[in-house]
Amino acid sequence: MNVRSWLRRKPFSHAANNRSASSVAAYEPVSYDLEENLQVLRRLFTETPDMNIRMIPIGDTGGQAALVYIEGLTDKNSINNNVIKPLLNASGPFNHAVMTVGRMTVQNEWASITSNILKGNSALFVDGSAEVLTMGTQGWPQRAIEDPQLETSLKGAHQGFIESVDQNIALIRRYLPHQELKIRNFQVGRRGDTRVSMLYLEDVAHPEIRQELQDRISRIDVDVIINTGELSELIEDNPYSPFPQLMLTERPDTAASQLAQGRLVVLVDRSPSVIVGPTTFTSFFQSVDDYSTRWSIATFIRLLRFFAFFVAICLPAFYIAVISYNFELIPVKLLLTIGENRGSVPFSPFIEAIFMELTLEMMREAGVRLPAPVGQTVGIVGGIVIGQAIVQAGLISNIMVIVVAFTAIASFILPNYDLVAGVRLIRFLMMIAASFFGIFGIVIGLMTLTGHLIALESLGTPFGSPFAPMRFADWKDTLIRAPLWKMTKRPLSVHATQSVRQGDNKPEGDGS
Amino acid sequence: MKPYALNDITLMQYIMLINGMSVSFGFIEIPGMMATKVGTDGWITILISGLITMAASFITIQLMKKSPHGTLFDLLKQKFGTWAGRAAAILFALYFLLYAYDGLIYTVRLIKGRMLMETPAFLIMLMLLLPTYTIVRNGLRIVGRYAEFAVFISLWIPLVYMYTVKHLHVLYLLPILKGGWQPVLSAVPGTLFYYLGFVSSIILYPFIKHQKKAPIALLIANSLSILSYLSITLICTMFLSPDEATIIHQPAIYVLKSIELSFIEQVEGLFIAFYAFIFSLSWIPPLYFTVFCLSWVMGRADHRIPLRLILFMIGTSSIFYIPTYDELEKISIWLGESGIAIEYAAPSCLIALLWIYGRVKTERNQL
Amino acid sequence: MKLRFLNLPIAIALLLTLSGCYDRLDMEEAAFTLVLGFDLDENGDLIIYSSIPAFNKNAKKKTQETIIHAPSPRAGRNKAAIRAIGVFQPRKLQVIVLSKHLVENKQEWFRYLDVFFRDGRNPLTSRVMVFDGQLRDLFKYQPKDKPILPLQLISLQESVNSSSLGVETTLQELQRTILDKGQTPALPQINLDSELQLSRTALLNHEGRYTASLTMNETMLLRMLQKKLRLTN
Repeated sequence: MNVRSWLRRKPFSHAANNRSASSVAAYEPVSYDLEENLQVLRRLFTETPDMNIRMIPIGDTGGQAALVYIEGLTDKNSINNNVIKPLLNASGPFNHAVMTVGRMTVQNEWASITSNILKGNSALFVDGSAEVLTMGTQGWPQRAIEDPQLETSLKGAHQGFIESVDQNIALIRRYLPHQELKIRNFQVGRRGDTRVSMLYLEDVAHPEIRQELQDRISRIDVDVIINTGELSELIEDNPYSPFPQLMLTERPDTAASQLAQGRLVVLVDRSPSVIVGPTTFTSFFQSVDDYSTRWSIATFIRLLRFFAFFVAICLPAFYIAVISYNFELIPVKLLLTIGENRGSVPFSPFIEAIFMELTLEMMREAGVRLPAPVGQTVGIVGGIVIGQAIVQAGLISNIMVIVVAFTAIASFILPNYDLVAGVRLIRFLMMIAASFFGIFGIVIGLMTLTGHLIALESLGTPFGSPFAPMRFADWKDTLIRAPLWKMTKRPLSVHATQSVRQGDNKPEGDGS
Repeated sequence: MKPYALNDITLMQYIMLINGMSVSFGFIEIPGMMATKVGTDGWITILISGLITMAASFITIQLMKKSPHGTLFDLLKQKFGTWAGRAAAILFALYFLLYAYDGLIYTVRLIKGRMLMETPAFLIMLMLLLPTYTIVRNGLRIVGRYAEFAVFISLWIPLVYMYTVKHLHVLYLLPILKGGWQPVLSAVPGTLFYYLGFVSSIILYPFIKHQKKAPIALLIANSLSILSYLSITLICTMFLSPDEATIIHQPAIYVLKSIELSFIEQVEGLFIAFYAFIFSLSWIPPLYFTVFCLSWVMGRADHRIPLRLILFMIGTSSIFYIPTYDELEKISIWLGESGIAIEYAAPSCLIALLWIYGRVKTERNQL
Repeated sequence: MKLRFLNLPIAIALLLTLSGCYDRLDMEEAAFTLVLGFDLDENGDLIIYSSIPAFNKNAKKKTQETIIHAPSPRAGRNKAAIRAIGVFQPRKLQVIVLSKHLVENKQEWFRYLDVFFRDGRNPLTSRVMVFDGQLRDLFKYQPKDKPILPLQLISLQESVNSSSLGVETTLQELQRTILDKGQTPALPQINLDSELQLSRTALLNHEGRYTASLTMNETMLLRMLQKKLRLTN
C-alpha cells in the first residue's frame, strides 16, 4: 500500500547530510604556533565579519596572544575590563590567573573552541601553547522580566520566564532553594545546539519517569529546536491527539509548584515556555491562582471550568440536535419562541451553526494578529455589529448568536491555551455528529472522546487520572480545591517516591 | 513470572466490569418480565436469583484460586492438556460473542424504536461500533477504566428516578406473596439470565491487582446488581397497576415518561441517549473477552486482528439482517440457557472434576 | 501501527458518505399539534380537531385549526397531513380534549388513544379533559386578549390544580386508572360560557363510559381521598 509506506517513518540518517567544509577542519589538532592557529581560524570562520581578533602582547618577552570573540554576542565591558586590561597590565610570563573573569576553561579541540566562540565566549590563543582558554563573557540582548501574556494571574507573581535558560533556572531556584533540586542538561539539535535542561526534585520525582523523559529527549535528531512547543511535540506520547499531554507554562510559580508536586520541568534555551510532565487531564484545569484565593471560591471556579469544558464542546451540537431531531425535549413556550425566531431563517441549523462558528474562529485569529488598540476595536465591531447585522438581515437566528457567544465565553474560561485549541476542534466534530444523529450522535461522540482520553498516556502515566483509573485521593485537587491543610500528600498520578508534603496544619479551634 | 502483569485492573474496575455486564439491558427489561411471570412479587424472585448468583460466583472464584497467574484456559491446559484449554477458549469465545451480539442488537433496536426511527439500523450499529473499536483495541486496562468511568457518569440515573416518587402507590405491592411461592420460584431460572456476566472472572482473575480481595469484590458487584434490579422493579411495581404492568413494554422507560422538569420536557429521551454508556458495558467487555479467547487460542497473537475481523463481520452482517424484537427474545432465551449452563453449572462441575482428578493423582502417587 | 490516527477520520468519512440525516426534521418545518380534540358525529366516526401554532411571521392568526372526519386517529392523521403547513407532528401534544358526547356514547373510546402510546417520542404527560358542549365552539374560541388555546387550557388546569378545585389527569394516569380495578378514572370537565371554565370533574367507569360529574366541593373531597390535596391560598 503506497499510502502506508509513505506515512511510515523511515530510518533516516541525519549525519550523512551534514558534511561541510567547516566541519572537516574541526578535527585538526590545535597547534603550538599562533599564526597557524589564526590561519585555521580564518579558514573556519569565512564570511563572519562580526568576529573580532585582538592581538595582545604578553608580558615583556614579546610573546603574542590572540583574543577571538564575536561582537554582539559578548559583553564588551567584560572583555575590555576583565580580559584585555589585566592582560595588558600584567608583567612577566603569561599567567591566566591575572584575568578577572568568572568562568574560564581550557580547550584543546577545534570543535569545542568554535562552539564556544559561536556561543558568545571569547577564546584566548597564546603563542607557544596548544591550550586555548575560553572565558565566559556572554552578553546578548535580553528582555526584562514581564507578566506572561497568555497566563495572567490576579494574585500571583507578575513574573514570566524570559529567553535565557540560566535566568529561568534562577527564577525557579528562588522558589525552591533546596539541594534536592537537580538539573540535567542536554544539547538538542545538530545546528541549533540548543541547551535543554530538565529539573526535578531528586527524592520526589519517580526515577522511571525521569529516565523515560531523558531517553526521549536524547533520541531527538533535528536541525534546530526553535520553541518549546516543537520539543513538546517531539517527545509527546501521542502527538496525533487533539489534546495536549504535556503542559506548557510561562510562569515560574506554576513551574515551581509542579516541581514541588513531584513533576519534571524541561526548559529550552531561547524559549520562554517550559514543559511540565507527566500531566493528567485535570491538570489543565488548574491555575496557580486557585491556591491563592479562598478555597470555597476556588472550588466553585474549578467546577465552573469543568462545566465550561462541557458547554464549549457540546452546546452548539446540543442546539443543533434539539432543533432538528429531539424538539420534544424543550418546553413548549421555549419551542414557540425558537420557532418564531427560526421561521425566517433560510438555512438549516447545521449550516447556521457552522457559519457562525467559523466566523467566530476567524475573529479570534484576527484578534491575535492585530496590535492591541486595533484588536479591541475589531473585537467590538465584530461582535456587536456583525452579530446584530446578521440577525437583522435574517440570515442567522438570535438564538444561534447567543449559543455561539456563550460557547466562546465558556472556552475563554479554560486556563490552558492548548486545551482550548483541542476543544475548538472537537466542537466541530460534535456538531457534525449531532447534525446526523441528534442527541445519539452527541452521546457517541462523547463515548469516543472518553475512549480516546482514557487511553492517552503522558510520559507513560495514565492521562485520564483521577477519573479513568479512579483515584479518589486525587480528587482533593481536581474537581474541588480542598483546603490546603488537607493536601498532605502529593498527587497519586505523579507516582512520587516521597509523598508526604505537609505536617499537620489544620487550624486550631472548633473549625466552624 | 506473571505473563499478564502489564494489564492490571484494580478492584473497583473489576467490580464495575462485572456489574456493568450484568445490569446493562436487564435494567430496562426486568420489571416487565417480572410482572408478566410473577405479578407484584417479582422482587422476591430477584432477591432469590441474586443469592443464587452470589453462590455461583463464589464457586467461580474458588475455581480460579487454583490458578492465580493464569486464566481458566491456562489452568485447563496445565491439567488436562492443550486441547482442553483450546476447546474451552473457543466455547467461551462463542458465548461472549453471543452475549455481545445480544447487547448490541438490543441497544440498536431500542434506539431505533424510541429515538431515531427513520435511520437505518445498520447505521446505528456502525455508530455504536466506532467507540467500541476505540476502546477494545487498547486492551483490558482501558476497558476496565471505561467501565469505571461509565458507571461513575451514570450515577445521575437513580436521582432521576427520585422524581417519579410522587406517582408511586405502595398499595400495589401488597399483599405480599398473594399467589404463593410457586410463581415466584418458577420464575427464578428465567431471572438468572439477567445476572449473567460474572463468569468473566475466569479471564479477569489473573489481572486483578489484589487477588485476595477478589471474592469480596465479586460479592459487592453482585450486590450492586441486586440493588439496581430491586430498586427498578419496586419502582415499576408501585407505579403501574398490576394489569397495566403486563401490557407495558420496557417499563423502566415508561416510568420516566411521567417526569416533567421545568427546563426539559421528556426526560426519557435524554435518559435513553445517555444510558448508552451503560448499554455499552454489555458489549464492550464481552467483545474484549471474545478476542482475548481467540488470541489465546492463536498463541497470544495481537488481539486487534480478531477484533477487526469480528467488528467487520458484525458491521456488514447488520447491513443485511438485524433481528427483530421477537427474534431477539429467542436469542436471549438461547443466551439464558447457555448462560445457566456455562456460568452456573460449569464452574461447579469443573471444581468437582479437578478435585476428583487431584484425589486420583494423589492416590496414584501413594500406590 | 503508525496509522492509528487515520482510523478515526477514515471511519467518520465513510460514515458521512452513508448517512443522510434520516430523522432530521427542522423545527420550522414541523407542524406541532398542541391540542387535539375528539368528538363523535352522527355516523359514529370521529371528528378530530387540532390546533397548530403558525411560525410564519406573515400569518395573521397565531394558530391554525383543522377539522377532520375519520374513523380513527391514525386515519385522521393522514388526512391532516395533507392540509397542514409543515410535517404533522404529535410529539409536543399538550392537551387532549374529549367531548362529553364521545365519552358518554362511544364504546371503548379509550382504545382510540392507544395510538399515542405507540410512538416512543410522544409525551404521555398530555393532559386529558372532557368538554361539555360542541368541540367546534371550543376550537373557534380565540379571544384577542388571551394566549393561544393550548396555553390557555394549560394555565387553566394549573390554576385549578394548585387550589385543588379540579383534578389533573395525564394520559398515563388515565390509562392507569382505567386499567386499575381499584380506582375510578376522573377527568377535569371544562365548558364554555362566555369564558372557559373548569368547574367540574367527570367520573368514568372502567370501560371508559361517563358516569357522573362532581362539583367543585366534591372534587376537593376526591382529592383528599387521592391524598393530593394542595391549598395555595
